[in-house]
Parts: sequence; C-alpha cells; structure tokens
Amino acid sequence: MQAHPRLQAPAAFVLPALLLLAVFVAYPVVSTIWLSFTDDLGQFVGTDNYAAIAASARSLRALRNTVYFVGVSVAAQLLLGTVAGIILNEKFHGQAIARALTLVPWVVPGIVGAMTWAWMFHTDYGVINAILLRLGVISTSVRWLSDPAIVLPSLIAVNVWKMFPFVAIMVLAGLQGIPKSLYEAAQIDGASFWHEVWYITLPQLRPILTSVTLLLVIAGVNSITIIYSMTRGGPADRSLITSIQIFVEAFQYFNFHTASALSLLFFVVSTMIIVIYITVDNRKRAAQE
Amino acid sequence: MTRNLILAMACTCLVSISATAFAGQISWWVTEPGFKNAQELAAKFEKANPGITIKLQSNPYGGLEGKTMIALRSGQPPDIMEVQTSWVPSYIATNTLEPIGETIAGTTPLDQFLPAAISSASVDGKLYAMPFQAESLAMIYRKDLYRQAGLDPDKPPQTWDEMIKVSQALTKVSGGKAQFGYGIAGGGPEGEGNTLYRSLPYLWMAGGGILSDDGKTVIVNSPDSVRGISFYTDMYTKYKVAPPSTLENGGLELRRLFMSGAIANYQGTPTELERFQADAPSLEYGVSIMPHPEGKQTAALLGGWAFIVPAKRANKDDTLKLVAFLATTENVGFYTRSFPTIDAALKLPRFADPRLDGFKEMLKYGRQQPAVPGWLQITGIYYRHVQEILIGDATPQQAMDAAAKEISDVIKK
Repeated sequence: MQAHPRLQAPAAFVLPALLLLAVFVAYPVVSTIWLSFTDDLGQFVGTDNYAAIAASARSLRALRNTVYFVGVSVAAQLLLGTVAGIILNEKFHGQAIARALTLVPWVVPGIVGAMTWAWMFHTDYGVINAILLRLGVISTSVRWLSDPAIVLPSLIAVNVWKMFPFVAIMVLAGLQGIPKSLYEAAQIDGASFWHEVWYITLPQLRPILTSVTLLLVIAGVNSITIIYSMTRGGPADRSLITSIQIFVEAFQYFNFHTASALSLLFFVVSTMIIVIYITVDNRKRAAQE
Repeated sequence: MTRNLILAMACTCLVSISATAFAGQISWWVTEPGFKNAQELAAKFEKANPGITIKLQSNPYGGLEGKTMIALRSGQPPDIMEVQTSWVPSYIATNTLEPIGETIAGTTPLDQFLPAAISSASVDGKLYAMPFQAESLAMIYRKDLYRQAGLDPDKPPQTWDEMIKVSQALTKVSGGKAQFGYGIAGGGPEGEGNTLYRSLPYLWMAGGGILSDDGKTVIVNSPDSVRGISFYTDMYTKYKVAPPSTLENGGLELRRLFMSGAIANYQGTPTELERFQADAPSLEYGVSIMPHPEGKQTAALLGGWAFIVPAKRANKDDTLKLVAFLATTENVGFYTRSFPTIDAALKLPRFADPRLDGFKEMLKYGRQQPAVPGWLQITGIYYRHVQEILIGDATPQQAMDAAAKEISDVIKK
C-alpha cells in the first residue's frame, strides 16, 4: 500500500493528456467500430457492412490502386530523396540555395501544389503538353489525367515531387551524423566512391530510412489531397484509392456505416503492412549485427 | 476515418457555438457570394423591426451540403440557412425543418413562384423551403467562329442533327491551333455535378432519364435514355468534335477553352456572362437553347438556391418575420445571383440584358432532380459510367446497363 500515494501525483499529471486522448482518439475509434456493425436505424447487423464492401468491385479496384500508388510512390521518393540528400551533402557552389530550393515542394501547401499541377497537366491548355509538342517529343496531346493507363503514374509523379524533399532532408541530417573517420579508413583501404556509398553511407542511414519509409507509407495511404483535388479518383475510378473511397462514402453519400467498416478494414491492412515491415527490418538488422 | 470523425466532431462543436441563439437575435447562414447583399437586407430588416438583430455567417460553397446536414442533426442549427434547392429533400428527411409555406404565401402567393422550385421542396402539400434563385444552363456559342466557318451566327442549331453538323463544321484539328465544335463536360474536380447538369437533359428530351417520375424504377438503360446519353458522348467518342481534354473538363475548364477559342459551343450558366464581362469583354458570343431531337422539346435541369428554417427554435417567430420579409418580389429579385423564382421579379431592370433571353427561355423547360434519398450516390454511379463510355471501355448500352444494376441496389436500401 506504500506505493499508493507516490502514484497519485504522476497519475494526476497525465490525467489531462489521457482525457484528451480518450475524447479525441478512444471515443472515435470505439464509435467507428460500433458504426461498422450497425445500420441507419442503429440495429446490429453483424458483418453485413463488411460483406457489402467485399462484394463491391469498386473496393477491389481502390485497393489495387492504393497498393500501386503507395508502392511506386514510396520507392521513387526513397530513391530520389536519397540521391538528392547525398548530392546536397557534397560541398559545391550555391549549396545553400540548392538546399533551400529542394524544400519548396514540401513547404508548398498540398492543395496549392495539386491545383497547379492539374493546370499544368491539362490536355488542351496545360504547359507540359505545350512544351512537349513544341519540342516535337510528342505529336498529339497526352491525356495525363484522363488516360486510364497514365493517370496514376501522373499522380505518383506529383506525390513524389511533393514528398522527396522530406526524404532528402532526413538523409542529409543522417549523413552529417556519420563519422568522417569511417570514410578515411575506407579510403586508406582503397575504396571507390561507390564502395563508400554501398558499404558505409547506406548501412549508416538504415535506421533513418526505416523510419522515413514508415512515415511515407502512412502518408501515402492517407494522401487524399493530391488525388482528390486533381481527379476526384476519376476517370471512372481509375485513380480511386481507398482513403478517398472512405471519404466519399462518409461525407458525400452519408453512408457512415459502410464507411466505418471500410476504414476499419483499411486500418487493419495498414497496420499489418507496418508490423510486417518492422519485423522484417528488425530481423535483418539482427542478422547483420 | 478516425481523423474524419474527429473533424466532424470539431465541426459540430463549432456549429453549436456559432449557432447558439439569443432571444431577439436571428442567426442567418448565407453563402460567400451572397454575403454583401445579405448584409444590406439584414440592415433593412433590422431597421423595420427594432428589437431584432441578425447575426450573419458567410459560408463557402465547398462542403456546404454536409455542413448544413451536420448542423441540422446536431440539434443546434442556426435559425435560417441558405442551401441548394436540390439538397432540400434530404434535409426534409431528417424531420428537423419547419414548414414555411403559409408564411411565404402571406407575402407572395405561392402560385407566383416557379412551380418546379416549389414542388421539389414540398412533401404532402407542405413547403419546407423558400426558393429564391433558379437557373438552367443554355448553349453559349462563339459568333465570330460561326462566321469564320461560314455559319449564320444568328441561327444557332436547334435540333440534335443540326448540332452534330454545326459542331463538325466548327472542328478544325489540322494546322495551327486546334478548334473543336462542342465542349462537353466529362471530368475534372467539379465534373460530377457539371456532367449531370449537361447530360441528363438530353436523356429527358429523348423521353428517358435516370429514374421514373415516382423515383421507384431505374430507367437509365432504357432505349430512350441510351439514345440521350449516346448523343452526348458521341460528340467525343464518335464525331470527335469535343476536345481531347473532355475527361478533365467541368464548367470552369470549358469556360477557359471557350474564351481562348478552343471550343465554339458549350453549355454554361447565367453567371458565366459576368465572367466574360470581367475576363474577356470583347468576346462575341450568343446564348441559345440546348438542341433537342427533331419534333421534341428541349429540357433543362433546374438549379437554384433556397432558404430553410429549422423547427423548434426559441426565436422562431422572429425568424418567420424575416422569411416573410425576404419573400417579397423586390427582395427575391435583389438577392438572387442568377434569376429570381418569382415571375414578376424577372421584369426588374437587372434582368433586361437581351443576352439573358436564352437562359430565360431554358428556365421554362427546367425540371427538378428526383427527390429520392441516395440521389447523390445515384448520380455518382451515373457519372462513373458516363466516364466509362468516354474512356472507350464500354458502349453506351453496356455502361448504362451496369449503372442500372448499381442504382437498383441503392434504391432497394
């Protein structure tokens, strides 16, 4: 019983935070779970809402699009961001300006960037087609946002443009924490630049890249802004991702029960991906050590 | 979803704070473009009714439909709200609206209002909204481009066959700048509503539609409906007189293309004329009816705005006084941003521009959207399948058959 009074003070300190969490996290989660098993009349309907989702071709297409959009986006963001980070770490003339400019896409509000890209991509008055036509690279206008085969790659390009500076800046921070002595030792052993990148830089960056990848995946599956403001998931669902499907179900069609079921499934799938990723990464790291 | 729920909750909190009413104070939600005129009306009303004050709140268009719904369901709505007439049926379904027909009739008899606007906001003979604005789209065309193509700029096409011929004559893709005859809407950020307003009238003209008049039968894949949607989509898929960007174009994009001369015809709203005045004052254009099948009448989807009054509010009597005040011919004619719902108000000087005649004519053929629950979801399905036709992945018949199946599932719910 002696520990009791000692516990009270800390408990009182964390109480306000816990209350906030309860109101803004616990309540919505519980209410979402409840909504997903009921109908408009508040009747318990078991897994009906889930069955409706599983039966809909739309959900499957949205899921496929999400996997494609997030997978390719994250891979490209990591590649481009790491390269940019390594370049920005080298000493060259105008390095400060280059570092500042790289950050611009990340700093610009998502909706502003997306609208600007939508205008640039427009088939008839967009600047991208105008330039490519003039240069003779293409002979007819490309339908960047309305050709079913091109719309997702176009949106991925915008998403990569938006997020690669974040990777670059994290990589840059990580690079500055690598001791110079490692490189000096390697140089004495006759390592080339590529050897240094492969055997020193990347392994040293691994913890940072792991967390960055996780953040990118989470941002990717939730990236409503870019797609919704540019195509609304169209044409004919060719760029629909699950998070937009949830948003539309809930806030345009007011089907809160279907939307809740869908978000729970979405939550479970996202969590599984993240858990698998962390487990695999931990195992690899353990194997290396 | 969790984040969205938090957002919804935060909205509800804000709503309840902003809408808390005090005796003698009316809280009135208006839309951003109406705010200035609402201030003027509020000042007039306050002067005539000492002791009552009006608290105005200006709302952007974006998300207003949902915001109003959340306010109504929260139990703490403002006293009077400006909404689109087509949203009213779903608000009536929440059983939170006050019938205001008698109050309005005390100022202006209901038979002087546009019948379609009144009927769509009524259930069982009770009127739940005061429609003040109504408009239909009309065909806007470039007179200079007509002349260049050897067409008579004072004789725009009246029938579908004429429209196809004229659009073909106006389409020039080879050499220099490409020009297209008829810009149809098929996508873009606002594509869903924009495409519905521009294509559904063609289904109606042909004798079809999305749902039967009683809202119980799906007729979107009937031969008449398929003929209507084919006329619209053929412009892009068969005759190729619509620009390559069709699947990215809504009303805004079409206006830009029209002003630059990339398209010669498109369906626009009366408010576009103000934009031409501001952005391209020297533009030479005319306004005509939407073409119809030979021997049939034209048709239009009626758009518009109305005021609704939530029931069970403490200061209801004050609010009803405001409704009676707003329902005068003069005030309806003053507040509308396109056309007034009261016929007599159309004679006000601000509606005298002869270029508005095409829109006034279309107003006569205006029809309301069916008042059925889930209409927004139904039109979402319709839109998606229209896009399937435009992409080229389905024939009109295949696409409308698929749409009919999905729409039936929504109606059954």
